[in-house]
Amino acid sequence: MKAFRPVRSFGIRWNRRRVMQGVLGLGIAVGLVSPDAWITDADAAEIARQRPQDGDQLTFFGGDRDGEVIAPADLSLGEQPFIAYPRDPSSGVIRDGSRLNQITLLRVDPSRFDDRTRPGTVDGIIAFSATCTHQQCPVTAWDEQAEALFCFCHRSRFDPWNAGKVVNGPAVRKLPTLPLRLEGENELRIAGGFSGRVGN
Amino acid sequence: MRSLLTGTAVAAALLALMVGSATSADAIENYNPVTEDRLDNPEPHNWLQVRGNREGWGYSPLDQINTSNVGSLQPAWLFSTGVQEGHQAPPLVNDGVMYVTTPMNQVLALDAATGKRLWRFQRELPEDLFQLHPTNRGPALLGDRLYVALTDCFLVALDARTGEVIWEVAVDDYQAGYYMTIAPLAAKGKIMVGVSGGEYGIRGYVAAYDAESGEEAWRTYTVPAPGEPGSDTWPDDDAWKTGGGSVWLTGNYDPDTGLSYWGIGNAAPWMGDTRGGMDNLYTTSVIAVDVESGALVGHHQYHWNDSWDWDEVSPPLIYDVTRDGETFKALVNVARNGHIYLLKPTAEGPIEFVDAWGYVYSNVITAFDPDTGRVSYDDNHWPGTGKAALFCPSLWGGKDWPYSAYSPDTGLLYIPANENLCSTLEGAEEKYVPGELYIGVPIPVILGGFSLREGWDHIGEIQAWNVDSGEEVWSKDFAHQNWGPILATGGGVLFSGGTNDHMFRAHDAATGETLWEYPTNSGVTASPSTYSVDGKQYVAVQSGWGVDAERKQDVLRGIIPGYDVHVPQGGVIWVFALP
Repeated sequence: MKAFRPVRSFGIRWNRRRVMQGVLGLGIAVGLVSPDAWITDADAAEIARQRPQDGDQLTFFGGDRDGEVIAPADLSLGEQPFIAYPRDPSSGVIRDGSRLNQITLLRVDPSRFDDRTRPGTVDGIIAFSATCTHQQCPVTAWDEQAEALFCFCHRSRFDPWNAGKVVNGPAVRKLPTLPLRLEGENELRIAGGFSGRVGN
Repeated sequence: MRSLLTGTAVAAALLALMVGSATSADAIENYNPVTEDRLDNPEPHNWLQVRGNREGWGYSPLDQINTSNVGSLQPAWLFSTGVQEGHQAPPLVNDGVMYVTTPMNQVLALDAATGKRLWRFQRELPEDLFQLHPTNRGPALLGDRLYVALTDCFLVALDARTGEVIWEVAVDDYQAGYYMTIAPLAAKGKIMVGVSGGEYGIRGYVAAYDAESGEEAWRTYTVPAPGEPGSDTWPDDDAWKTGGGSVWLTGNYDPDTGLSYWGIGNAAPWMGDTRGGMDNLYTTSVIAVDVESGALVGHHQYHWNDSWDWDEVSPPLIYDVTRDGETFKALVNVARNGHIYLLKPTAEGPIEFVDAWGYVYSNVITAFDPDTGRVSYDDNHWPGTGKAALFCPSLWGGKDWPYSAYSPDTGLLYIPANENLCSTLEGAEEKYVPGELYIGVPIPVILGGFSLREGWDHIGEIQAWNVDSGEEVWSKDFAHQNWGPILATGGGVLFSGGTNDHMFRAHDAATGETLWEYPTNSGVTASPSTYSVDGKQYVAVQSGWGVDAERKQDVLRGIIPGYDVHVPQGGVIWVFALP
């Protein structure tokens, strides 16, 4: 099986990792980081395939800011959600080895979260698996009228305030959430794994 | 077992060999091999290819079930497919053996008289595959094999007697957005398929494989590379590499000339200004492809620089038409852009324009050049990047993929049409990422962009047209949508479902009068077929709502006040007969 989707195969990832390694190398030279931050391509491929981990950062996928780390200020109330990938902060590898790692991020009114949903959110920012539980299409849009996350492919809708509950089908299983937390005052981090099985 | 695989897909294919498997109750004995002569001259008691004949008529001469007795039709047997989503394939039947494909890469072989399962094949879907169109439109039969094109873009040859895999080939990379829903075309020892992915920025093509070995014989792109014929209709940039041009439906075939005719889908991304505002051949066209060589020898583009997502998916039906005292072999197509096209093929390939006229309300196409058929547009209804425009028919067109039919008995063309629904689109810049959706229209815009014409009183229709005269003979309305392919029979009956009320219906082909209807488990968007075993005629169809019918249902729930009808999913093969 291929380790990577062709879109972000070795060209992009290698360059990005090389940049990170360059930064790390500089850090080693001045004694700021330890040499074990160096990784092989095989290690990077393995890291890229792993599901999101506690402590991972979130990075933009596609668009002008592709690969950049996402901060809370990048998410505004009332704006469309966007797709992110997790990033291992120690190696700098973006975990895009499987599209099942795609994450839908958005900011909603925090006062409407139910009690089970609220703990994994940060000031209204909530993360879901972007992989629809129906036919695995990316859940990328916000349906203003229905106040729900919306999947273009087959028009399933999910309630962000109630842990991704299905509003209407054809999906029959909720969209898994991904818990978030703040690191320090302003760093958005993943706080654990998906709440349920990703995809269908 | 032989396995012919392209480069990077080898490992995936090897895994698939382990997971794609057949379960067999009994091997089929005394199987009657499907020769090309049988495909060229189909027997009335069988249904050997998706539309019954090479010419795409969707017609059977069987007449045991007819207008006088169809009212007493009742279920003979049922078989649950075990999967959800859009069931669209017709049951093929070869001397009492039925073959059915379903969503989720499944093939079933059943006893056509009793429904007893003979074998079942299912190829496991890749973990990371996402399916925009989780469906399959049928297999092809040739020799003692069955061929099926799958949503993970594999073409598989099975032993029709056992369901065992004989060879399989990765036609393309599903991770780059390529997939297949098409029923293959079998002719001249080749198995031909087309790829989909026009919403992912693929570059479409028709490809042929040696039926015996699985070796690729030729690959003919629907979007030319620089320097190839038609490339001057693309801008001088990389747009052609992601230009779309999906091939959704089986090409029709003229054994006399060896030419096949394929309907080509929309260009990508959707807004035409992203492709230089140019013609963008051979998207939204019919192409003539020489089956022997793969040479693209003729075409007619229904509308240029598509900006409406009007995939021209349907291959033209081939039948004789008389105009101005001259009877000629014609190509007749019901285009998604809302117009019926009468074209004249030539043995050498070039396709001549004869006539075109509207069959649903259209506010986009304003005129046809009488010599070339080139259309003119009303700019007010032509969306673009940063330019919103309302247009009718909607992006699903006057007719989407569901097949039209032709009856040589009535001489009429039957169209499953949709009227009164319109779309508004406005494009936005989008960066191409291989394997991801590449539409160029924000999803919320598509979501909120549907509307009904003022004064609308129905949406779905079946229309009957005399193409000789260009006149509509009858039209029948349905309250909401119609996604039902049509079967015409020698009994003077049309069979079709397509509505959201679960019904499978029989209509009088001469008048449109509904003679019989039966409530199935779900909605019928599949192509019906008919056959006979031991002298008894059966009518078979799958019921299993999904894909675009479900999308449109959701749209209608959003724009019709108080309307909240949901259609349950889940596939069942229904077979009907007289008591």
